[in-house]
Amino acid sequence: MINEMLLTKYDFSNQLDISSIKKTLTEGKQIVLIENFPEDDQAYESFIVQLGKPVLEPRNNQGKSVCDVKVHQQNNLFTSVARSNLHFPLHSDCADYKDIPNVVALLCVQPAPERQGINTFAALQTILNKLTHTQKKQLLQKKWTFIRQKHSILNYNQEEYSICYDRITMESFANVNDEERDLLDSLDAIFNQCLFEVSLKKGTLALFRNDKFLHGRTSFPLDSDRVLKRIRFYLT
Amino acid sequence: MKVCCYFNSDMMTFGEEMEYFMEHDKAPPFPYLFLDVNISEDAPIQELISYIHEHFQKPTFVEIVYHGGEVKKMACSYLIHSCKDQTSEEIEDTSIAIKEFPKLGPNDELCIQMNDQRNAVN
Repeated sequence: MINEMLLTKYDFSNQLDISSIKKTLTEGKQIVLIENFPEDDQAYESFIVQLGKPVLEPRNNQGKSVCDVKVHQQNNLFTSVARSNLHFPLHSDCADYKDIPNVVALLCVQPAPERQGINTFAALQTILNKLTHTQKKQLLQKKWTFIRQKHSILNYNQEEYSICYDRITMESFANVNDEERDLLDSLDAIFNQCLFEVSLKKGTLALFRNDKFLHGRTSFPLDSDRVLKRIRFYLT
Repeated sequence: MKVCCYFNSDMMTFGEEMEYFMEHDKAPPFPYLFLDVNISEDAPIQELISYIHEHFQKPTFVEIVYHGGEVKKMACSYLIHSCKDQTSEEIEDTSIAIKEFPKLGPNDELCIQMNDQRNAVN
């Protein structure tokens, strides 16, 4: 179910108020949706640099900031979970970075067929309301391995909580014991209680805080031409 | 032919790599590996990729664990790297002949980034 309180909507056809978008992202309580956004990479990059510093990655288009998230296979295997048609559970992007980019932009170029490949989110504020004091303390203290980084799932800094969670990375590249797995199962159950869906239309750009919202997506047919253009950036 | 390659699992931490890519003026600190390979440049680049995997005994896929324990294999992906301008282009079709790819390594050899771990999730 869509939680309208967690969304703030704009239309690219109208004059966009960049400072207002920036303010919403800085507060980190809502997902920004901009309809009728152009599909052109250059226009997209130019828009994002008004908001922050994008992450450049070699595998992105021309090694710049835009990554086409679509089904991609090599030798009949997917090259990543993101670039598969599989369900992608709630997570944070770049959990194995030293400093995670605090905003993710997803531009829907082609949605999957109806009610499939739907974007899912869970707001940190909602998650915090469901956690007990003991659970919060545990999540703030316990360090987990995210490939070569070690950090806690919750962080509290300058009177603000942030979250960084990617269970697939945690379990795939480090040893997780049974007790820890039980803890992750109980966390997932809480995260999933907070989950809401946002069905992105063609030409809609979603901007959300990577450290204040977990995100994921439902599965979709392998032959779907679903494409999202992703830019990760640091809000400035 | 001479080939330059690097596996991203051998590279610096993600944060450091990202900082490097955000500041293009830094010299690339990647642990480049150089190889002399006895292969025709008419061969598909897949043959060269397979040779590199075998030579360094690096698997061609990564096993990832889904919530709940189900294990799925994710294939490595490959990029042609340019040391001139520090950009990369993903190899979309590995059946293309080696000679069709630009030689933009440190000494004008083919330079391939082997994405073997980091990007297996997202």
